[in-house]
Amino acid sequence: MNTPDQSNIINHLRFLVVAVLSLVLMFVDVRTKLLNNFRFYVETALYPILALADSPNSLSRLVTTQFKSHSDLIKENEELAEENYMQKADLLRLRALEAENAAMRKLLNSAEQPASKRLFSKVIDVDSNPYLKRVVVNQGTNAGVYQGMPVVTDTGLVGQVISVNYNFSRVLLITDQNCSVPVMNSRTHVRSIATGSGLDNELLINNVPRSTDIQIGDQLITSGLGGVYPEGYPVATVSSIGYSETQPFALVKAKPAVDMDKMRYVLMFFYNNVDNDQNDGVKPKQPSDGKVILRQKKIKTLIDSLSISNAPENDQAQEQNSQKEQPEHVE
Amino acid sequence: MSNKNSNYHSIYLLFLPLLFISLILQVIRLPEILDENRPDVILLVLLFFALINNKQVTIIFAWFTGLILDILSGATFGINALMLATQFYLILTPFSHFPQYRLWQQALIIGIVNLIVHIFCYWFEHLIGITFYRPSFLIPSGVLVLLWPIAYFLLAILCNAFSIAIKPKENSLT
Repeated sequence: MNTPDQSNIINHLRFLVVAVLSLVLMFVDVRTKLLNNFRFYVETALYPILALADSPNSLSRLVTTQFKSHSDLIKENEELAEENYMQKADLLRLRALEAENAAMRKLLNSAEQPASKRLFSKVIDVDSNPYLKRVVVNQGTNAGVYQGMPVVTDTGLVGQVISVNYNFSRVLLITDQNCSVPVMNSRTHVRSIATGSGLDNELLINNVPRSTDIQIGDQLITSGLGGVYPEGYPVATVSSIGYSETQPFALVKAKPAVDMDKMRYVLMFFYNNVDNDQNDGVKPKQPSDGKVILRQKKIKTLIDSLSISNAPENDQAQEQNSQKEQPEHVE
Repeated sequence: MSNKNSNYHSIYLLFLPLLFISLILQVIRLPEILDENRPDVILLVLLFFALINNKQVTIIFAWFTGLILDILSGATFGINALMLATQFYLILTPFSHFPQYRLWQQALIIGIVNLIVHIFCYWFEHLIGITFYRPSFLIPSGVLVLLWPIAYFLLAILCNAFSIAIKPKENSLT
């Protein structure tokens, strides 16, 4: 039987061990990619717990839907039918505008911007850590979701996918402090960077010179620069502008277009998967994972070594390809 | 005496399901107003069972629970584990007579330790530049203080209902 002193020493030792282990794990997780695979499989295995955690929410929605009165349903149906009718009419105009836009781009010898594939998904969890603004959605690698995928709703930009599991993925919201979005003022076309403030209803617009033409109520849309987010999606509306004589830049705040607390469904864009062979315009950012690049290089070397006889032809082809690619790298 | 002891069930009969439920409560989606004030329910469950049997519920349990929470919440590996283990250690090791304290005294200690750990976490996040000042991050510690007496009584009732032995207070941490 342990004396109280011995028991205290054991407790001290146990704490020391778990503290050191925690620090090592944190370092390994943040600085290296050693735990990525482990995390993928364990998080995928624990998905039922996340789904279970969302069940009260789903149940309350189900009950609310089930207990709607007949007259409410008729009214809602009429409203939706009217909205659908209006949107169909708008769609006709959109198609005509798209065709016109394509024709004008051809005249200007500029590349067309093909529409991206979209994936509908449901928000199943919100991160409980007050310092992180992230949500979990119910689509993962099984549906083709990849890291860096832009996420939007019907009202505007939500954020991008930061980690993917087999059947769910985590989305970093634009309101998170680690998230910055290249934006453009839709009225003046002035470009700037919108950064999350950590608050749900506020974005900070950095480095806006005091002389810039910006007004409260201006809509900020994605500029498409950086290659992560597609161009033209509403991000926020300017809510306040502060000037100080001592500061070289104006203090601009904006209200996000999407109410992050209330969103239930999102659309995920396969933006990087657009067929870029036909698109000579701005190319999205390519993944810069060292392992992937090394693997690709190995495969390329292997293919080259297997086809030595065609080497001169390959070299010529590679030269041609590199000549083709050169203008794209300039941007 | 031995016959009486043999009628009692293992502590794990209640501890593990309650730990699972508290994990769910920790990650469940709540409205924003409740989400900001969500207390560390897992800590309450771990502390209660450590008080009634500190041989079976040790700091290792707290650490592994924190790791599962890290995975469920997508946080950096080890951060919640370290927070839970630190709170568990700071409450039960230096306060050697913690089980003999009155409930309000226990609640106060739990609240203060929780507050200190949250402030350290806030400083750490501030040092690496990913945080912002929001006074509401201190509210969950206050909620925890109010919740401890309620949780204690509820868990004690459950222990009685499931015939789980509660060790005499004077022996519980020695």
